[in-house]
Amino acid sequence: MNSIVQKAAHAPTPLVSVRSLSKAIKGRQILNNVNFDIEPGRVVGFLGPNGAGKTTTIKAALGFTSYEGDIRVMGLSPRRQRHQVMASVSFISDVGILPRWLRVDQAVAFMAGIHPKFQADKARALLAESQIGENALISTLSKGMVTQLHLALVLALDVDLLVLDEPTLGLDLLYRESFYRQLYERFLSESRSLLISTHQIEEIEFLLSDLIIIDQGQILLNESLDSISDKFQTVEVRPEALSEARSRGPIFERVNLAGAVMIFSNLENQDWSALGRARQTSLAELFVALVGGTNKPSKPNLESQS
Amino acid sequence: MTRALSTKWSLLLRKEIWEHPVLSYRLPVGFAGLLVILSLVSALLGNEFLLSNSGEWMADVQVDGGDVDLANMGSPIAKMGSAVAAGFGFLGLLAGWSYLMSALYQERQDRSILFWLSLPVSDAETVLIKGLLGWLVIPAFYFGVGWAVGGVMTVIASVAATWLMSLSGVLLAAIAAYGANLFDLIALVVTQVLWSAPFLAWTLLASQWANRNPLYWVLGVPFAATLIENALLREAAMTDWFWSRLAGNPELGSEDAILSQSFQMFLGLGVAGGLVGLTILIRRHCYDRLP
Repeated sequence: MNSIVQKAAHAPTPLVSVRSLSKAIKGRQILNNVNFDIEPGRVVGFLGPNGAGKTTTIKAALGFTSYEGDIRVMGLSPRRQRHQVMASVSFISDVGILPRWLRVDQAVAFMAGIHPKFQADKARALLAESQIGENALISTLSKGMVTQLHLALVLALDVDLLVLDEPTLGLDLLYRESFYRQLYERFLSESRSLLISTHQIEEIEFLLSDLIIIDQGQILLNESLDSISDKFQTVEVRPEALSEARSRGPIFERVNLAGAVMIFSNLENQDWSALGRARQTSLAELFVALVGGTNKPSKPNLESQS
Repeated sequence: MTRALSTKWSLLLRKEIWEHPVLSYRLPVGFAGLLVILSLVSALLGNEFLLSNSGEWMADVQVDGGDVDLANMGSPIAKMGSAVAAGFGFLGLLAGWSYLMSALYQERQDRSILFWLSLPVSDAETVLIKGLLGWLVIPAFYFGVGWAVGGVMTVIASVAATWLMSLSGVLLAAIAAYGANLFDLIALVVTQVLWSAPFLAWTLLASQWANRNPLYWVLGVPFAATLIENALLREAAMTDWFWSRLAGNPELGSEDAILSQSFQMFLGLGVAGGLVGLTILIRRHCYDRLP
């Protein structure tokens, strides 16, 4: 009992707290009782198939859309205090949302005058490392360059939380690699958090500390990566061991020529050698297992209750 | 804090000017330059024409229904300059209206609203800055440019008259008369700007609300309301009140008229304030309304 109380007393105040978030549009339930926290220093991957509710959740958390439930960002209500919230949060969306008529130098000057936490020198230094001309019009830049510019503007902000909604959609591999490397090197610290929604899960896996998987407006999984590696086990099952493996209740099964690949959850201290070769479950496998896997026995809700 | 706020608001204004360079300054400055060039050309060509006619042509010229008093050419020349300045003022109102129509629509259409929303700028600040630019700043700038170009044209015409007809004192008289007209001109433009406030505020609201061309809302809704009011009440007093704000008020421009129209003026400002407040609310609660 004492340890529980002690833990609660030392639990960091979440930067983002989402409780009972729901939203319906034209009678269709987009979000249904979504709950999660983002604590300081965490890098949270927000995964889900198209139409799962990722962007709506993000927009709600930033105060860009109406919702039912309670959301607190830095203790503020994003719906009523959006502009105060945005003093400590920055955001990059999936589409090139920088105004096309703006010049690069104007963007820097504008941010410097508008945002109290913007460091113009840092932005200029970041841009000097790129191919982006200081006087270039945004409409003349490629999609990759626009994203690079947006990232430079965002990295020059001394904010506590960065929210990215499919930021590298449509970018080639080099831009994507550069984007995530810069995030890792220049944004992340013990006190700053990142919420990132993407389909390219394998490219951000090295960044993440936590994973949230959402489908059809409901959270299916909300765990730290450490917890995920403890809870889930992938086994490449030999053909002769299929019956035995199935009896242990895999959450996912994919049959192949060499037998089957199965994912098990919450089965610790098991001897897998009788079934086949056991290995750590990758996030991509877990995502497919929970959201869209074929031969899936059932769609479990593994959202952490902790 | 105050300095930070003024820096922020001035940048918000500059941002709007960056976005709308043609409407906000290129059009009036370009038009002014064209007028100055045309004035110079016509002064030179006119001099040649008048010289070839030995000045007899001037006898047929009438201003305000009377023959031109060549000895007092300053006043009519100044009136020409003032007309140019007033014309720029009204062109500014038109430009401001055009700007307001796209001010809150364009950012939703090109999706840049997601970027603007991600900045620590409140909806009230955004709407008020855009409203002030279209309602006051653009008409004031146009009028300022118009007054400057009207002055230059006055000087050009005065110099031409002095040179052609060897009239002394025309330049000084014209400049003095032009300067004396300034306050009347300012009163005329300011009162028309105030008078049109409800229509401009309605335009801003339509720009926030419309999912297609805001012009449909700006003119379509009042037109439909007029038809309905006529059908139900056999008159259109309310909608006529609104349409009069679009047409301007020819009675304005004199001190007496301003006093007699002051109630209507304040009523209009109150309605405009309400419409702007509604625009802020719609922006705050309807981010999802993307064209």
